[in-house]
Amino acid sequence: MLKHVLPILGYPKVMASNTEILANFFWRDLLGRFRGSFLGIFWVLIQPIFMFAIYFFVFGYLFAPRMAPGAGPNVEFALYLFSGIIAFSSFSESTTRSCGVVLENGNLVKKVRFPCELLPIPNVLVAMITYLVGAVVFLIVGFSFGMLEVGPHTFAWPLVILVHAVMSLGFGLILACLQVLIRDTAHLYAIASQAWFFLSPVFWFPRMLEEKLGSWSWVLEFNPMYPLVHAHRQALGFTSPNMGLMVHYAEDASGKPIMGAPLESVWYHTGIAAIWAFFFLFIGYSFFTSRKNKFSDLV
Amino acid sequence: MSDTPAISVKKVSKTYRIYGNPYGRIKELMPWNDRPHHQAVHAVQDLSFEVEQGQTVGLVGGNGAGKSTLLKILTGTTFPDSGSYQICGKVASLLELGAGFSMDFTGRENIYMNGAMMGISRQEMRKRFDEILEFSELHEFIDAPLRTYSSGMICRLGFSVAVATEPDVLIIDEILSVGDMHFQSKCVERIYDYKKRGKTLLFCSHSLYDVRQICDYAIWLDKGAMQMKGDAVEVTNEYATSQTQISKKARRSVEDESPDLIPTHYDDALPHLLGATLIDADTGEPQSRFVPGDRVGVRLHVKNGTVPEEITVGVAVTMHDRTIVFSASTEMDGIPVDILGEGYATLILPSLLLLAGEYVLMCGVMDKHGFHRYHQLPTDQDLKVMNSKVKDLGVFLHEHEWKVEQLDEASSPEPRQSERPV
Repeated sequence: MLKHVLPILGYPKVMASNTEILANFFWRDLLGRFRGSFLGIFWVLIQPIFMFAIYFFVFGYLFAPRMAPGAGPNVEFALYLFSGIIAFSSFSESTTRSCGVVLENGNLVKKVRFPCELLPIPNVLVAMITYLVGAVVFLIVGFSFGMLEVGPHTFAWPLVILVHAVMSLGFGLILACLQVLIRDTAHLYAIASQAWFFLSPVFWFPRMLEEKLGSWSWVLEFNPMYPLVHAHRQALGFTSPNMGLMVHYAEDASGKPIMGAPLESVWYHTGIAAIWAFFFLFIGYSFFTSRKNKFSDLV
Repeated sequence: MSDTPAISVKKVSKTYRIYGNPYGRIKELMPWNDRPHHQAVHAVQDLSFEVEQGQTVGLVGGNGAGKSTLLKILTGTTFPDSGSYQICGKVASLLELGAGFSMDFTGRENIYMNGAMMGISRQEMRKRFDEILEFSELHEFIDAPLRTYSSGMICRLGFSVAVATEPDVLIIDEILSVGDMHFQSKCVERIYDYKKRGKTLLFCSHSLYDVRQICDYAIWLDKGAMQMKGDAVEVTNEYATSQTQISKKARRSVEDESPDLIPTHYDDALPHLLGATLIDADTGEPQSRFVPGDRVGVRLHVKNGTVPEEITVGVAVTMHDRTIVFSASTEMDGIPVDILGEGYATLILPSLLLLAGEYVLMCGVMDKHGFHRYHQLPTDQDLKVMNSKVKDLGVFLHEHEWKVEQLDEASSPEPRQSERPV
């Protein structure tokens, strides 16, 4: 067992000894997207701001009466939505990009000798930037409406970000390697990630799960993004119990569901997400490194 | 370290599997599969050789002979199916110039990025930056994005970065034809310089001329297997012979497969030919019709570059199918051409041995190593050898003699000899 787990310890070492390459790839990825455009790097800021404005308008304002009859603009739901979206879209952005990363850098893989397990890392870092910008927008709006709280959960934020990065990287490694072996992966993942988005607690709240699925709700909770999205929300301080949005399904001693039981703590969600994350990293790293010698022949 | 070989390859084999469609790969994975769904291509087969430190070795062979695969294996981007190899010292590989460049970034940024890919830190790169810039001569474009560069400029940048890394073993795949003539000669100069410092070079080219000029040893690969190894001139000659035989069948000449760059246009600032004339060697008068036995001269009107340099000149007499009948160059004969500004260099053939026919004389002016060709020009008129009294057939009047022997035991007269003066 140890024999299979230990090689992964070499990964941070490879990263540390190739920081130069990583930094170059990171800047290439980040700046490369906006090179030649007038606003350049500012697009990183503009995108999430506009996205939030749209969500705020559509879901907080247009659809608000349906969500909470009689109420005005539903800032709370817009914030709920946006916090889920920045977490999930950052994950899906980096994994989707990682999917094609070996093929896109085919020329490098074929002609230059370098540790290609580094390739998905810059994607993860760039996606984290998009996430952070979104989070800042979220925090500004959230605090100005007085819906966010600072507390012990705030200390979980860096941890949540780390878990998020590890999960994106692990899943990205799996996809990157699969895409080289089976070219259908990218197309399949484009559909799958859409489905995944709606199966994750971005648009819906846990209470709806338990209303619709009852004791089957574990099916949707057995989703690596389920604890991660919640952990993001909680760590950002979105703990408002208003409207029962954050009510989680739980049972009493006799097995009857309890309505309105408090959500598990941010630490619990982060812990579950971390287990998933390191599981993916382990699978992804072993899979990728065991196949990488074949890449230059298959690309 | 000096007695260990720079490169040692032991029984290396590599087979590629070519699948007609993606299902073949899946079918083969199934447990009930009983036949292969791929076509095996043996790119390299059971190859063993050693390259001593400081040697310059050329790889020759036709398309698909496994040259590039071998270089890729030695670079470490692909892996052999069996066998092993060892390389002593720091390796730099130029499988492709500018591999890893990003088109959206400036030349300056790409220099640092490329350096990092080769394992050179930013500080180290900063020290070498001026040298790279100086060598690439891209001063005014260095801060423009790479996509605005011409392909030649990208190659120049790639070569400049690669040679600046100072490797112990340099692996080059067919990239000496970079940039314009002026830059090419600089590249060649760099490679000679590198050779002089006792570094090892493994080099693959379709230009046999280049291999002969640069390399001490050569390896001829055919269908992934070693056909011959040894002295560069011997190996390339053997290879050229086999190629001519093949091309006779395919009605293609060697040159068709590897179109040699013939710089018929030239740069005024660099050495070039102002003219090449066939003359009667005795009178010095232009003349293009000769008979066998005539004293023929080929007069090259040479102009050295604005910055005079040591040059060499050469003449190749070819048939119309571009087969070279014979050639001569001052580099091979060790004759210095010390012309500053303009001058004449005349090749004298004391007694013409060619038989009736028309011959094209290609004249050239080259760098001091006879490697980089600055300018090539045919003579004003083709050499026409007229029917003479000689009855022989063919292109060449060879000095010869006959020996006739009777093998019958009954009567054994003295062997008769005849000798015919030429």
